[in-house]
Amino acid sequence: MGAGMVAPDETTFEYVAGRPYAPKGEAWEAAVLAWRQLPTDDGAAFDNEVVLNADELTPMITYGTNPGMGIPINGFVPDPDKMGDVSQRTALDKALRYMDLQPGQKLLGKRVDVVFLGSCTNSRISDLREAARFIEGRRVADGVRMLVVPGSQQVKAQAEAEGLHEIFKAAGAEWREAGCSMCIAMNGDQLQPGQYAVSTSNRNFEGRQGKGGRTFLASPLTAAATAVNGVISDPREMIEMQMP
Amino acid sequence: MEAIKIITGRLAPLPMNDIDTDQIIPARYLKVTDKNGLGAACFSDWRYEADGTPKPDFALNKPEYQGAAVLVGGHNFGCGSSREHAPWALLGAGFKAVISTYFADIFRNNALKNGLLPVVVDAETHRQLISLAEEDPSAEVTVDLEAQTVVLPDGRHVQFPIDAFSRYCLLNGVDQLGFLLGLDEHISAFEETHPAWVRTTAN
Repeated sequence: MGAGMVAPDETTFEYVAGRPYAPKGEAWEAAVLAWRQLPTDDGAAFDNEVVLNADELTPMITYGTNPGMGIPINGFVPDPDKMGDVSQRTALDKALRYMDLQPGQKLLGKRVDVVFLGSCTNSRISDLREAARFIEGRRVADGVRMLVVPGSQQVKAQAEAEGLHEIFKAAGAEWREAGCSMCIAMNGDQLQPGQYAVSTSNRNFEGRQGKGGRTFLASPLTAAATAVNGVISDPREMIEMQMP
Repeated sequence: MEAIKIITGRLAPLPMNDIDTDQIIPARYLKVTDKNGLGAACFSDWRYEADGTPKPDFALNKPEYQGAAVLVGGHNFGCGSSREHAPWALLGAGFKAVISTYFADIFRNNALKNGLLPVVVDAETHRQLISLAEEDPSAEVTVDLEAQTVVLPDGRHVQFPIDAFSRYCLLNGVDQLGFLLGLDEHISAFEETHPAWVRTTAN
């Protein structure tokens, strides 16, 4: 893993313009002019070049106890015995015991107790719009608790202005104050020992969402689909994809 | 912050890789306003049963590792959430140094800034230290910050890297703010002869 720096483009400027703390008026023009001076130099050499093709990406989900332990949603839980490296095998074995999962098991259809649509990483306004559009006219399955927690106060205000909160509430989800909630489980929003959650946050370490709780990290759409079915579900099977 | 020059003590082995900060100190213990007192909750979910009784097979609960000053963790120690409480908890549990083959970046920085010495050694030395800790829990090692060496019981010296500034701060027992405050006179003298910086925020 690592960090990358990318020259700002029109999409970036459009996003920043008019936001709190962004320069305004002449200062804005000056700032954009300065930012336009930041393209990559012609002939720049890179240590490494990575090409990512999102067209070939399926929705992903984690099965283990760190964010790297992920598979395509229709994939199978890997087998520790097939790991060449001893420390990887030990780590996977420990993770599967914690998660109470079997090697080769499919995650699709796995019953969950809680769906957490929240966190600063995956509860942007775009995430909430997508999930709301999916869940509109549907119901959260019996026996599943769904928490929808906007990623910030601004996101919450925007979502409420668009009426998204009413869609979530009508579906039987809890519409909550913006905050960390079950991403870090420092307040009362915690899994009980042994419970399973699909969560749109980005941490699935042991006990992260409550002592003994078991986390599957997934996208907002996968979370919404899972909430409706009560079991881990592939949202592509439930909608004609009409992404913005 | 206490100055570190030489740490001599016994080892406690925790050889699993990717030990994350949620294990070092679970989030529910973060609601504190004092960095002291977190030692009892260090590795809480691995150390205690649900009813609070210690799990006898967890290394740090074994009598032979009580009072160990140096924790030997697996690769990528301290990964996961950014959490200054992680070094606080380890210090509170009595550790003065952690040895690994690799530290997650944020943890390493938090450790350095709080007087917990992160020591990176090669895989072979790491294996030897784990074996040593498991086979002879009474064995002591010495971590010499000034010389940047780990001295093993057989007398072997193993070098470890540390950036010069962090080393200076640890040897002198100052954190970054303390270091800056020590330069207050120079900073004030500089500021008096220079105009204020341009404003960089909106409005």
